[in-house]
Amino acid sequence: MKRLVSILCILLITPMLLLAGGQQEAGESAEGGAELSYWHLWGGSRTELVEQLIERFKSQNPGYEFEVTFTPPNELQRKVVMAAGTSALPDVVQLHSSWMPDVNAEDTLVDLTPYLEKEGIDLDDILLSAEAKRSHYKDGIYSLPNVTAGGMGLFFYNKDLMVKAGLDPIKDAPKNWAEFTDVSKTIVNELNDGDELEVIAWDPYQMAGQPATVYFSFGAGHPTISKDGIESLMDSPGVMNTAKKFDDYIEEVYGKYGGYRAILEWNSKVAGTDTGAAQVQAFIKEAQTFYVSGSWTIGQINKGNPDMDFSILPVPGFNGQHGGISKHGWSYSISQSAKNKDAAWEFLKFITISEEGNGWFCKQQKRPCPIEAVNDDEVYQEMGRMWENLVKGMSMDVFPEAPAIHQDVVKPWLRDIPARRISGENIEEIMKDIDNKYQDYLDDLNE
Amino acid sequence: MSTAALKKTSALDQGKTKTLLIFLSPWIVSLIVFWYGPIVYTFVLSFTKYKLVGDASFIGIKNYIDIVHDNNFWHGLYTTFLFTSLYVPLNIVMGLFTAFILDLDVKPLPLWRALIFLPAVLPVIAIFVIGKFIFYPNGLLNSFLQVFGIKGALWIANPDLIILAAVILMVWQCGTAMVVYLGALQGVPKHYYDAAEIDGIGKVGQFLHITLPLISPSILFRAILDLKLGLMIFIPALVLPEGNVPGGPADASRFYTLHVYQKAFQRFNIGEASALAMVLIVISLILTIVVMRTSRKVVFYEV
Repeated sequence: MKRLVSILCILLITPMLLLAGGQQEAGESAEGGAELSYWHLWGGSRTELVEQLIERFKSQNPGYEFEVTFTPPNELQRKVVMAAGTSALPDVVQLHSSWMPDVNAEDTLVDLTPYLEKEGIDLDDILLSAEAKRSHYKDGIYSLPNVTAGGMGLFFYNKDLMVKAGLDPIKDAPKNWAEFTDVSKTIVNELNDGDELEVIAWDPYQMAGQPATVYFSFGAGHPTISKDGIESLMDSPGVMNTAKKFDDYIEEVYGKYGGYRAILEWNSKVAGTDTGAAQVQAFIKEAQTFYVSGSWTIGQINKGNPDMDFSILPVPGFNGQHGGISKHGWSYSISQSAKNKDAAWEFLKFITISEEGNGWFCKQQKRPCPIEAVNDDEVYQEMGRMWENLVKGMSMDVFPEAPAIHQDVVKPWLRDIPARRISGENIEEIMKDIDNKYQDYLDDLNE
Repeated sequence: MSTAALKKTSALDQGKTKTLLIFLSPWIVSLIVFWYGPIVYTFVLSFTKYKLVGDASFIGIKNYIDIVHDNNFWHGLYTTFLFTSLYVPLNIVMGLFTAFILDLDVKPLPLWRALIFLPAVLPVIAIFVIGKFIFYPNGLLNSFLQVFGIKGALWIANPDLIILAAVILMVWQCGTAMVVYLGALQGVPKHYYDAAEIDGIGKVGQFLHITLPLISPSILFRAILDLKLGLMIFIPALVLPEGNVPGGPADASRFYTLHVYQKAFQRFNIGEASALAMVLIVISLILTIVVMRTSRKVVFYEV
């Protein structure tokens, strides 16, 4: 029996000792580099770019090893918050700057101020002022944005489809809501035969990233949540106005095809699945004329349909002009549990503010970051007028205090509107119900 | 038996018990660690305020008071009971029906077996993903109806129909219940039917007075399992609704478990989520006891 107990003890203790030894060595390598864990949200073709980015870093910084984990954006918040609560954050983590309270940033993330000071970096010199502001939380800087103007809202439009509908893709490109509705009606009427929709103009309730209601409300100067993040403003007059505009748009543009039901059927037929990602596919397949998304989509569209002739504009606004632009805040942070914080900083610097790292990464995707890339002649030549509009968009007013958007929570409620409208609920009732739910959610979070 | 012989037998029993315990230990340990342990931990957490980040603080029964004042709690119970009350009887009926078909030995038997049992071996998530393609506004079902000029219902985009769609898809997996009923049916002695026929009892009478009583323990067993499955229903709420709206449309599929999940992992209110989970455990226990007690008069363990 004693022998059996001894064997069991040896079997139990040996792996523990081995693990303990392994842990001691983790985080540092013999060459003075480090072993870093890194979570990111770059899916699709960008996953490959991340691998190349890391190789670039490694070639310039020998001795580094990486454990890379991809997590889709909609799952990242849950994962990051849970990891922060259990001290399981990776060394370098991609997160949204609005999650700082959720992850208890001052206890879980490294304040980057000393690193920036040591390097003599002033964020205002390298970022748009709104983004520089978003990097600050309480008395520190706990994250750096991964792109400059990366989350800018853009209005993509298919020039060929406009021509097919008898419109001039330059002159008739809509700059405000009234023009947008008129152009949409023309496109839908001209490009469809019979009772069933084949080609649509736009569906306000299917959108990647931020829900269109939130996006356009911001654009019109009406946030969906109070600045302190405590009160839902979903049923405020400004947001309600956006919801009503969308409701009217569905009726005016798709009414004769069956309104909401026609759009639902189009979605299930053309988009295949009803997610934001499917919507970009519908745009790529040229079954949808307009698409509202961030600047990151440019590369995806180019790759998906290299022959498609498309361009971009700022989103159409309700006030007779182009709409404003809301800002995302995808950033990188260093975990307080990082074993080698200096090494993590070297990598963070490379992927956020260095020309060789982040600059290269952005150019591969044809997006403007860091800010110097805006004036890159090579990119300008390639992108032409589209680049002009992109730069024009960047110079427009942004909402530096754009509130935290709990996308995972809000988006489904807004995407539920068509089904609820078909069931006979009116838009005011629905928005009030969404407001109640959002308030309930915020109360829970802020309790 | 002499004292020495008794001692020897006792030693042998002890040896057997030890062997038994050694072989059972993986199950016992996992039962304690992965079942009872989490239940006890959940029970403890249900009296705390805990947000995943930071420490848990004891707040007494506040979580229980808060959850009963939350409309989502009652709505979650309603949708879950609605689903369960449709699913349990339908699954029993379909399981019995398919078992009868196979028991009749209709040729080609392997084909029927495969057709009926195949959905049961698919993961539930796969069933609902397939189901989504069937019940889409422009899905297989409506496209089929379109051939006959019928404009189909919106199913997963209709708050009045989504639960029904979820029940149909769950019952599609009645193969596991069918296996249990088939085993029970084949265990009914044939001579009971012979005797009944001699007495002039028809097929319906034979089913009601011989088959049903003799397979009633199996029906009870499946009913309790189905009841548990019904109360734990979760996946359709996430996968099925049109627009990928968890619990949609219009909260029609917002099951109790979705409420628990969202409290815990969307709002990080672990204390309330634990209280909700404990309430579900208690409801599940009470319903199981009620079913067991009320079934005594209709379930026959002996002829």
